[in-house]
Amino acid sequence: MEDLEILFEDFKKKDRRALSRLITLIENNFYKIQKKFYLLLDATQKSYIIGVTGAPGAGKSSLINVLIETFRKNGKTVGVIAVDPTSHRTGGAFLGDRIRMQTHTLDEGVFIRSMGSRGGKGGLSLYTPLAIRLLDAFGFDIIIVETVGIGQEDIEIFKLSDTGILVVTPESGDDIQLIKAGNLEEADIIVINKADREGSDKLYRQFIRELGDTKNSYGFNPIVLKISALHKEGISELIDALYKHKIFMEERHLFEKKRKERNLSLFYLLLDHNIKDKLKNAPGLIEKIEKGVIDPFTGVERGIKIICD
Amino acid sequence: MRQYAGFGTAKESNERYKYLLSQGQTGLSIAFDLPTQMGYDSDNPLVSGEVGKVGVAIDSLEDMEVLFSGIPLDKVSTSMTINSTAAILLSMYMAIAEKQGIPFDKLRGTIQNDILKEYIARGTYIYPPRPSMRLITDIFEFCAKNIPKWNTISISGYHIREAGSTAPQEIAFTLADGITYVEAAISKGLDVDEFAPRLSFFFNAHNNLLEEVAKFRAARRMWAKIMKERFGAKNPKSMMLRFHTQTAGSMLTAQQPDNNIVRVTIQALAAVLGGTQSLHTNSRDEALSLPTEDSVRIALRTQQIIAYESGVPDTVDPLAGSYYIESMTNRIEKEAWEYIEKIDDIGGMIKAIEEGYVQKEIQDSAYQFQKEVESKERIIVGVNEFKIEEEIKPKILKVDPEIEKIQIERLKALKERRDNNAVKNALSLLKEKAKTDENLVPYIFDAVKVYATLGEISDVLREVFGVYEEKIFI
Amino acid sequence: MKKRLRVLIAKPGLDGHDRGAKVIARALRDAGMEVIYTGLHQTPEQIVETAIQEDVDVIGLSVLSGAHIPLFKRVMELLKEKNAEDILVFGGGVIPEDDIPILESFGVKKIFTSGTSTQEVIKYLEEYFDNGRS
Repeated sequence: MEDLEILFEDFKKKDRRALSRLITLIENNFYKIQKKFYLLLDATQKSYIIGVTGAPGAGKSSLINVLIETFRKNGKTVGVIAVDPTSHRTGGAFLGDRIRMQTHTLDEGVFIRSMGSRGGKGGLSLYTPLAIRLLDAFGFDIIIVETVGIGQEDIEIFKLSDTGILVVTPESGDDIQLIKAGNLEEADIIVINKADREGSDKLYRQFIRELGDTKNSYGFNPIVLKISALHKEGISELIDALYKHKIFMEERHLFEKKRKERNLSLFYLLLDHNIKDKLKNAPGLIEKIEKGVIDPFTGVERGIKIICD
Repeated sequence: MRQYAGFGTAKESNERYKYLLSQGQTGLSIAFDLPTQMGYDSDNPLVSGEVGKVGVAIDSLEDMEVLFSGIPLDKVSTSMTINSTAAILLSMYMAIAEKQGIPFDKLRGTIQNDILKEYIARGTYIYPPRPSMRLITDIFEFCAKNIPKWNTISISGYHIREAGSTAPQEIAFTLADGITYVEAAISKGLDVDEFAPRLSFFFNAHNNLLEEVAKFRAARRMWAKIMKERFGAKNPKSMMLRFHTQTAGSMLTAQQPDNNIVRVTIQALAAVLGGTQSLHTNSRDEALSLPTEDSVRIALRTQQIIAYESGVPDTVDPLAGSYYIESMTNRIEKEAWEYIEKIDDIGGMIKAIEEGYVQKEIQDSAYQFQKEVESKERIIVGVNEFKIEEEIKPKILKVDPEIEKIQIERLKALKERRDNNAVKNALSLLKEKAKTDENLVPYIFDAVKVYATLGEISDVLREVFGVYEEKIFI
Repeated sequence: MKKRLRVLIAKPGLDGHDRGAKVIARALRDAGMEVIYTGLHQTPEQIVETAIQEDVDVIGLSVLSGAHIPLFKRVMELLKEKNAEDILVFGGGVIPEDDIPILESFGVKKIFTSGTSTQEVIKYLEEYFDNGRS
């Protein structure tokens, strides 16, 4: 167990190894550093966070690769978190997103970290919000978070990010009804990738029709775009769309609103963790509830008493 | 009999070739090092440590001249295992023929020139698929007009099988690649009967002898159907599946290496019974390093014994009519057609590769194979069964690390000696033409003749075509 | 509680044979590890930087082209430069027995030669880390 003091000092000095180590600590030993965390974190949340989600094979990583290139050309530093699903059965994960971004590995202005979802919901790891905070405190201008999102519940990413991009492919036509109730309602930008394929125009019109003037939770009417990450086409339109969304949100102070919500969300997340951790000291209670000796309602009253002591 | 060889410097390779020719080999097969295969010169810092390791290092026409010194090109047939940089190596071969006073229509040989399998299974790609296809069809066109006896492509299944595919997958994906090349050549304006007779294939000879024979037979039937029905070929030569085979290297073991001689014999028999036109037999030390002279000789003798003593090659398709072989042939053919249909549905091989469909199928088969070995469902003698404690350590060939230094020196000297102005002009002309639709082979030929290096020529094309980025699907 | 290992499987150099690397990656994933795979044609610099950003416990290098000595050496040198020598490095591919002591002298902990089962690799890693050396 290394010296936290030194680690934190190095982090403040912008040592990438320290950043990397701290992300690992968050994932494995969060409670050990929880008390010290506030020392690291910048309360003002300065980074611009872009969330990218979509089904496997949609081309999210390729798209992010092109975005990194564009942002770097404009002199912005970029931190990337790529989340891949952890197998429930084995606990293992194949983290292969960074392959598409490997050309940026040696760029001092880019940092890429892969995370397994480790049982987290919505295609994210429980620790992703914390990792984002770390990258923010480290000073990256832009943070991009990639997750796999196929289900209707996979909207966590949209809350976590300032701008949320949903990536689909021309073959997704049939799935529109499925994604409609979830992702589609919350996305800020919908990107039809691999637009050179058959069906892209049809899908585009379908989206425009389905969405109409619908506004998402923040009042923004999602922008639909056709691009090809592979051929680097449509990228400037995507940057324009990001910009449009940013202006919209800033004018209405909605980024602030989102950040407040995130603070609260993180608080509840940590609370949940901490409570569960404290209850580890009462395995007897847990067992009784499991076996039905005590009903859950009585159990929770007792649990609160234990925590408050 | 055509044994793959080449390592280190052109001079040493030249000596090995002369040795093999004197020992009765009838054709030359050249192995190039990875930097040459990937369009890098030996002095490029990126390739440090790789120069001359898996084959001969060719940086310029000068190296090629040494490689073929004392070997008259009208008396040999040369097979070059080269893909992304095939146009460059072919141009060098042509330049030597020119210097030896041999007309191009006397040249016989093959270039592998099969980029699709590189994306799928072998990894020595440079440019993205579409410009790579352009270079390939430029070669088809140029050779059809100027080097009529040259086999312009060796559509390969060997590597696909080595990467872990099953037998039906091996032929399905190879024939699907073939379909793509034929389509590309036709859309370039070539007549199918004009170039199809020169297409050749390259397959794997694996351990299950009977399955392999059936596989080769199925492939022949399928290709004939494809050429006749799908492409409307009229010339019977267009419908023939001419193929070279190599025995499966991945099935040879590091444990008890002499056992590999037996494996190679069985695999070679499969290829001969399957009707292969030419054959490479691996050496017993395959899993350890590049082969020693003794090992290479045994491998060649294996073929010679089969050829002259066994009677096996004396009859065409000797296993035909066997109930088992015929039903196995039908089964493999059916399975292979299913894969080809799936690829057609996706929109062709290039799209299937971009989607990762082909790669995923192969990886799944590879993983399945490994699981079978580990559960002992599949026995590999000496590895998961019948093991021994004492391992005999056979003599292993080590590649001289000085080779890299030698090549770097030669390059330096070359760049001082040559007419750098002529090189500059040839390269900028090539760059210009690469942006158009014109056939690039003559321009590469001109660049090669003024001693532009392989790396310089490849870099020009990288600028214009871009580079391919790998897709991973596990 | 068993620590969840993070493993980087890397293909340094120009070697394009990735069947083994992919099979190992998959097997390690199935054994509960988080596996990061870099793809082909990585330079030692890219591999080490990736290992640092991903804070891996292990790097597995796969080379079948005979260029293992200079490539492994460079990786080990870079790890030293970056103070990341605590990362366990193992190798596999086409590596002659004679070269194993040389690679070990660079700091490579284990070479798995041709024919090694994935179970052996998994067992080795689990034992190494259960010995409390994380």
